[in-house]
Amino acid sequence: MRCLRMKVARNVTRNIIVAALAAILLFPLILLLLFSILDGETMEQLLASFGSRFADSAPFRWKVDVSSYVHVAAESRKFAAALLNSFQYSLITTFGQLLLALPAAIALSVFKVKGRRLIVTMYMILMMMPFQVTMVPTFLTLYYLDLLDSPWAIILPQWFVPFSVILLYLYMIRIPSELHEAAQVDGAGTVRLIRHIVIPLVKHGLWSVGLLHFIDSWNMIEQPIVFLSSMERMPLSIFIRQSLERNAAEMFVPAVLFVLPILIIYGMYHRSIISGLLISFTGGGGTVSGQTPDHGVQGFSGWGMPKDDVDGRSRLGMTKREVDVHTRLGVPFDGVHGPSRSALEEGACR
Amino acid sequence: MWSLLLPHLAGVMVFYLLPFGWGIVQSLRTASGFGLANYAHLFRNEAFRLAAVNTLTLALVTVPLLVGLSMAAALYAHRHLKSGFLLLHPVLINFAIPTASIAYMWTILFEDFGWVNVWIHRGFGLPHQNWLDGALLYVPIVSIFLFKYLAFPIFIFFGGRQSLSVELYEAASIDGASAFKKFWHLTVPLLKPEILFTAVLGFFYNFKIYKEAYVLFGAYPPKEAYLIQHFLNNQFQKVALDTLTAAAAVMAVAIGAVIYGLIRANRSAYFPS
Repeated sequence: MRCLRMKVARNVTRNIIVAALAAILLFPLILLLLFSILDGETMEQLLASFGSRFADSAPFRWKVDVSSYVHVAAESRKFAAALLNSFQYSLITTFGQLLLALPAAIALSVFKVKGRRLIVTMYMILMMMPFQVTMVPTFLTLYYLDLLDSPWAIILPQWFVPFSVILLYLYMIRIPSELHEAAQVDGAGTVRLIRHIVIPLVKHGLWSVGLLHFIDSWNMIEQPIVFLSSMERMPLSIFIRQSLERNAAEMFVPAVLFVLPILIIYGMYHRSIISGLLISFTGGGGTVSGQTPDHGVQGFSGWGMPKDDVDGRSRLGMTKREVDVHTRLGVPFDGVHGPSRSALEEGACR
Repeated sequence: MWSLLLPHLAGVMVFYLLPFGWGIVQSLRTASGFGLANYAHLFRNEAFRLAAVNTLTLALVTVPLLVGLSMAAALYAHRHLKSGFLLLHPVLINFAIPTASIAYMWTILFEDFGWVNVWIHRGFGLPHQNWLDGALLYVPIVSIFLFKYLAFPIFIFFGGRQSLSVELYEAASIDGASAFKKFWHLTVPLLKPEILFTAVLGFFYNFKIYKEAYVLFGAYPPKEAYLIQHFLNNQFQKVALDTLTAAAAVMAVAIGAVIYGLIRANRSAYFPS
């Protein structure tokens, strides 16, 4: 009984710590949301007197003002144009990039074209370069193609960024070559091979790389500044900066609306993003040296169903509710979310 | 199957590699024919030296913090958090949030009558500090860096630690090893690949933090925040092509060397046969 009480007490403090840490980590975001719904005067007061909450006793009047949301979202034409631009750039670049990167990655990983070491090395180096290094070369090409200040100025360079190729390549070299070889022995031609073997295996990777790129391109600031000049073509990220420079109070609502799609995407697809990243770089959540992919990925989300772990102990019989109950009580069941207690500790507490 | 690779490679050539090659040729073109005068000029350029020193200093501060904190968080989560790693979501959300939206919040926190100053004044009686200029600049910048980039390293260490065998640690416990001994002699050596990977990742994240610095400070930041990208950007605005191409070439060589070394060291992981 003592052991159980200890576990519950420990869990409570742990939860408090976790909640506090989460609040701290999300503080800037919370601040942003807060400021976007507050009235201008309230904001000033808040900024000036936050610290004095402890000293003064004057009640603090909060005036919530959501009318600015309506104004920006529904009426501001510039905002709508900028939002549309952002969507346009992010969607078109993501689709195009995947469409171009997938065959390239297949060629490099499955078919192992000649010169693949050189190309992969080159792509990796290019991928790590800060934008400013490749800024001038790209600018010159766009200049000579007379594409500056058009959507293509953003879209075309993004289509050929090596990021997707490398991520897909790292993803696909995990696929055992025996698979392709077996298919080829069975007489599969190239097209067949790709359509029926490679693509189903890679779908997950494609999806998560696409999501990653979308999120990244949504954030794009440096490219529009250099390659575009007219305000109509600017994406929302730049629009927000301009709003900030004009009048700081104006930037909060567009900023929140800008974050919203990202939060939605994250909420819906975070598992894909995480597992795709992990598989590319660490082979599934194991060590970076590519050893046994383990229950790392399932452990992250906290909502994964318990699976057989490497020792062959099956927990398929436990429903999610049972898992929750066990967790809340602090009863250990190691292996699912990582070895929570060793056999020694369990023995000591029985 | 070169036809599969060709479209992408062609684009890379057109938009990146060929013009970059042209840039290198330009950088070698001086008033008196071909030579390295532009490079000599560059290394004597005060702004370039400042930027290089700042970039390296920032990296020296952020990378150990990144590795240390992410490892600590991952190990803590591994040992203590059983209900899934829910804390990871705030961290990962911070990674996904666009800079344009969130950077101003940091200004609000750290400006002269910002909350941080008000707190330290009311709470500890300290005078208002200037967090946005001078050496204290590192506090907001490093905070932003950690907030944004801790997510992925935590994953890496968490996954790595998960995949270590329990029996190993039990054996150590049986032999009487303390928690610290287990950490130092088991965890750290076994996680060396992860540590190295995170260190490299952190180094390259330093280049990405420029975006935040730009949104916060603009093209001409305070002295301590003047990074190599600010230098390149300003040369671009001035259309100082010789300096710009030389600096870009120097950076490309430096970064290229690092990446190439890493790839060679991990040959087997990247080119399985």
